[in-house]
Amino acid sequence: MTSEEARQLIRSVLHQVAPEADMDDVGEGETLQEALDLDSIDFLNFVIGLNEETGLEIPERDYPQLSTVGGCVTYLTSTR
Amino acid sequence: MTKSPRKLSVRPEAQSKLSLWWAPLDIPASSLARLAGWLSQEERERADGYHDPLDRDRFMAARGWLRQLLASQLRCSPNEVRIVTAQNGKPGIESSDLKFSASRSAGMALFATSPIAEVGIDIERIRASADVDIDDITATFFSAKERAALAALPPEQRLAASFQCWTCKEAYGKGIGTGLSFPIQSIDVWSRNSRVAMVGEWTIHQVEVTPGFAAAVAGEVLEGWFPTAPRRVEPPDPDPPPAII
Repeated sequence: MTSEEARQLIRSVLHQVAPEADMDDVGEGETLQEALDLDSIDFLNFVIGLNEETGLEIPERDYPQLSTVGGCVTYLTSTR
Repeated sequence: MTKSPRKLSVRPEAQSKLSLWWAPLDIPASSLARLAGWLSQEERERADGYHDPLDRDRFMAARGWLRQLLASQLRCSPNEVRIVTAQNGKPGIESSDLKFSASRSAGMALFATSPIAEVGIDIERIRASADVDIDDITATFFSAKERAALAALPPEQRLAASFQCWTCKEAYGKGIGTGLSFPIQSIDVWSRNSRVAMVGEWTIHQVEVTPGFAAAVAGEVLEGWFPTAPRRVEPPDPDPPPAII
């Protein structure tokens, strides 16, 4: 998966979890839960969505790596 | 030489094992300005990270109420409370033994304080199933026992019970300091007939809050303790009237 494909995937899954959230303004290093005010259940649904779209098993210990768009891109592009 | 901060002692009235508190987050602008005035530079920067003004205001209100609460227990002013974050992300207070946990959802904040026990707290607004896929959460993160207990409930009770179960798990994760980074499915925290669960040395209680919300608190080595209803954080004293010359 390329970085651009990962960004598209993240945008798509976030849109499913929080349709009202405006992803366009979220910077690579911003904390998703704060920028978009996602609660823990939104975040877990985001993780489930990434798993469903990629088949990637994401253990809980890796969740801190998914806290920003940049972190998600790195995770998705380096673990597949 | 750097002056070390003075030790903040817990006032005697705040010595109960664990206390629960709540505060409203959708408050008049004047009240919000008062609470926001106590925030640290780091908290203001975090507030600026919220894109939606409502989310930003609620964050600032929650931190302001937390400072008001901690200051009232430590006999200091709210902006004197130095909230620090441990390496694992768990917040604490510099130069004090008082422990706390904070959570907020929609327009409600919930806090736990304890002079003796590590604590974790969580509150969630119970959202309609059209707004959130709670079934995926249940299937992925709840234990087999929890799923079986939920499935045995009448359908109209499952949504609220699922949120209740989730708050128990998140309160535990916040208590142990890992957040969501622990094997979430491996612990049993919810059953149909009990409002309390034990996980190792941790006791997890469901907490009664305002209708439409679910909440739970976890405390370490608190066997035999039962929570009382959360009390409202006392609003700050109004500004003194201007002096008449």
